[in-house]
Amino acid sequence: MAKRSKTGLGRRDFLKGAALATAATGAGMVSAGSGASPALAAVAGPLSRAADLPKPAGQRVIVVGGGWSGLTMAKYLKKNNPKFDVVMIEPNSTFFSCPLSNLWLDNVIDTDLLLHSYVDAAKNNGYIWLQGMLVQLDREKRRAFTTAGYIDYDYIVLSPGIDYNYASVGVKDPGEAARLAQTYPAGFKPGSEHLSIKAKLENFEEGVFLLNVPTGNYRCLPGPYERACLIASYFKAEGIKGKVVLLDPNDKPTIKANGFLAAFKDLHKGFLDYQTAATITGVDVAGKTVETEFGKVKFADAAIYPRVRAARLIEDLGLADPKSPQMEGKIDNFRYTVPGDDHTYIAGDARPMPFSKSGNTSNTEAHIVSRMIAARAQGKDVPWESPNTICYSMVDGEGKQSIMVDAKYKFTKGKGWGFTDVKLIEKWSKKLGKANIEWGKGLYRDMFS
Amino acid sequence: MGNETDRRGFIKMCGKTALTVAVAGAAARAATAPAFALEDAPRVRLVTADGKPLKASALPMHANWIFHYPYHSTPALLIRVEDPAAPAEVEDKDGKSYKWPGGVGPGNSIVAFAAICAHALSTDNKDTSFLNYRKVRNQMTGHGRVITCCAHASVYDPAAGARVLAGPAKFPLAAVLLEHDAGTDELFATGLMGSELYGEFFKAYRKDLRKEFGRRKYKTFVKGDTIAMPVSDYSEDAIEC
Repeated sequence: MAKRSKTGLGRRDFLKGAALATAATGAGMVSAGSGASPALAAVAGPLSRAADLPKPAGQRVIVVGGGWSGLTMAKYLKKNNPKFDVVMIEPNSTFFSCPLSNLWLDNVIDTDLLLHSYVDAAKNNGYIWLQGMLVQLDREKRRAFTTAGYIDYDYIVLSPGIDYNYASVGVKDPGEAARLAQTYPAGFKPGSEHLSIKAKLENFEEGVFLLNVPTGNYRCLPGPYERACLIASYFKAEGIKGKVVLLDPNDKPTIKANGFLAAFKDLHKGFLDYQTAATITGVDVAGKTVETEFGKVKFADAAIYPRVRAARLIEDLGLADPKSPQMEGKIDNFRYTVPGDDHTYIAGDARPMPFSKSGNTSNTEAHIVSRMIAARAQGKDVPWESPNTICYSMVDGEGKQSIMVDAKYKFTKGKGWGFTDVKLIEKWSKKLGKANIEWGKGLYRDMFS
Repeated sequence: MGNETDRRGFIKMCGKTALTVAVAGAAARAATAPAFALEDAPRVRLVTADGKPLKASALPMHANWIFHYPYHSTPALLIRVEDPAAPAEVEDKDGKSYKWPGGVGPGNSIVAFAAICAHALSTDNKDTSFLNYRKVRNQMTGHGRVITCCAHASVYDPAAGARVLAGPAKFPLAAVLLEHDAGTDELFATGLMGSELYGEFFKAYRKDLRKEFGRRKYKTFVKGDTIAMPVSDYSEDAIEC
């Protein structure tokens, strides 16, 4: 009771202040006349107060997500329209780069290359980083409710990335999925998962380290193949009696196929077993086994990568396309806006277009989308441009040699989306290995400097 | 122009601050002034590794050479293109037009540009050089006789003010202004034109530049002579892509 009068926030204030009308009737709320103690009534918390932000100097744009899309978006929204007041919402305290992380698993690079500061990104580029998560959105009032308070905005860009869909590997029970996520983390949402995989490798005694390629348009097409190569390189370099088993539902790698196949054969014989037409249908966490259509595969340790979906936030906000098997956002494919709402954008891996979900794709896309938003805010527009997927894969950890692909996208009426302007270099080389690392360094400069 | 004291004072302001002042000064001048002009830019003679003046006629066709200008640590590509490089109108990073004066020396074929990529600052150093001029068509972009940055595949035309031909760069490499002394056949670097990126360059690479060039030297102007040599001699790895 004393608590309530101090905050001045009674139950009625909560109902008025937050647009969470459904919560009032949901579980956990003490309803009038129930006889339960008012002191235990649900408190809106940060959802009922304004976020601690300076008064907006111009139109406010919120960027949800501080990944490769969000970081680029926040910086270039400001660059393209210095009058914008930009706030980027990201819950992670530190940026950890998923791209290039496979190189770190094999000690080709250190984490100093992969770790970057959100503080610096925001400071260097004239926007505010609000550490928190978006929880609810009132698109009519243009008010975003976050764990750090609510924010009134003019435009909002949602680039929250992906979540894992463990049901796709036959793990339907959420509790089992949580246990699987923790025991054999996939390593495609950056941070702790990657630290765990690194620790697994460093502690690996012998036997099979299992990796898999998911179905669908998963994040980072070459990722599992590159990881297989670099873990194999690691086992060889460390003299570990280990072998990578890579299960792939496809009949060949989904990208740079000839390059990877040649690498598996010429560079990693004895350390890498690539199995095609192998789809995981079940996982026995305690029994260290996965089930495929053709039988069980036992392993000593693993990084199990389920099918991806757009971050659950997109669905929670009612913006997912119900027809999208990955629950991706429903947007105009060329304008990036939500239907009927020119103030809400979705970009990055939560997009529905079948572009490669990659850092370069998101970075180049954000350059374009930020230009669009800046122009439209001033009553103009810019034409659609294809994002660019430049993608290096280090197939040889010992020799630090990489292959690469460079592609764009085009839409053909009647056919849909396809690749265009494809350049492929599948003969690995040290020079491409160096370019591989510089590719990352340049983009970190682009996002953080 | 500036005497020694003025130049020292100017250098003390260091990096971006100094250059911002220079830009403001330049903007105040005639409308035909280039988009960026480095005030008090050093006039420096190009010499070979043995200290002897580099003779323009000795620079091979399709040369992909490197020298440092205007600061000790800031690399520039010295290129000899095959055909005469005529003056060209190009746009700087703010979309403002400037007139690149074209090539100098025999057949107006010798050009120079800052070896700092306008996309994400990939550059050329002792260890690795990502920006290189090559006569042959490269695999990554399909262009030949161009400067390619092998980090993200930006392509620049050295015969047209390093205008962007492909890739993510949004404006040309800053041009290093050259002078050819017809009598002695010597080459001089005399200034810069275009969107300079030295402030960002210093910020991105300060730690390494200090180590390689010296804590103060890295951000001071070169004086007198500056050494030019093939990129393949200077750099352990001139990346081709």
